[in-house]
Amino acid sequence: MATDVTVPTDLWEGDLEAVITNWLASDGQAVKQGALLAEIMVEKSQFEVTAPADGTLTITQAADAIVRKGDTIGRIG
Amino acid sequence: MALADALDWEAARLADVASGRAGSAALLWQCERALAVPAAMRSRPGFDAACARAAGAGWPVHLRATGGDVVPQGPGVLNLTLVFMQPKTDGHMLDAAYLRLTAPIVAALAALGQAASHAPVDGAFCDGRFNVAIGGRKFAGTAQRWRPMPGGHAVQAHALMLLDGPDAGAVDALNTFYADCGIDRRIAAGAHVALADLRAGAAEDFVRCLSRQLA
Repeated sequence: MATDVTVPTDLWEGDLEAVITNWLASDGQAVKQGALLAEIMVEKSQFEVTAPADGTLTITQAADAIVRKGDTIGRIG
Repeated sequence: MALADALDWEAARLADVASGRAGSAALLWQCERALAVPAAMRSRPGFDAACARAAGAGWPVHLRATGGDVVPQGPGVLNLTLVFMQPKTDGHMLDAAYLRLTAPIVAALAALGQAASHAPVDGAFCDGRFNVAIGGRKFAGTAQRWRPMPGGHAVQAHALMLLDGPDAGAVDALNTFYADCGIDRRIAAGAHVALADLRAGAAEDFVRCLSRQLA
């Protein structure tokens, strides 16, 4: 069963847009839970997005994509 | 201290807090003349050429881990880095971390009789909602990096404060860097205010007051 990689929902108030500034893991890469996958930026703050599970990463939102809280940016299966 | 050493210190303390080895850390620091650029800008077309030109003009480029935009460093700049754990709450965590960072700055300015507010400033470098502004001009810029940890996040919060400047050389270095990276943005020196603009001795008094706030 796949696990979604999502933009955290509890970091900021309101409907601010964030941008995926960087993927630090590649599409198709095997990742371990807790590994740094991507960075997203909002309000001049860079947030580290980590793997929620072990598995193979599928990137569904590329770098520079605009995202909001709760959006799925990848999957681990 | 050297900018590279300050950036290394920040990375090490963030790792310490995220791993539970330390609860918090704070550092007031100054460094040599340079441009500090968010690492995320590396992927921009023209970035390598922009770095080479800046270095040739006396503004070596260093990559930093926080968000935001290009900033000038040098003898006219005072930096404050706080690293701490931000527990999970129902929200406002980002704002809370910015307010924790800027509270001692605002208090130190108040001790000097200067009212300050949080506001974006058109034409300022690395502009943002949590600038510390005096009279509508940018005095301090802020940025953060967040790392998940059990029970919350480890936060590296950074403020850049203007003791002097930015001078024409710094503004030219910023605008040239933007242009070389294909970024349509212009910085105006007049959008900023430094302690040296307020009165003689303000910088020394501010550093003393800020150090007391952090003690």
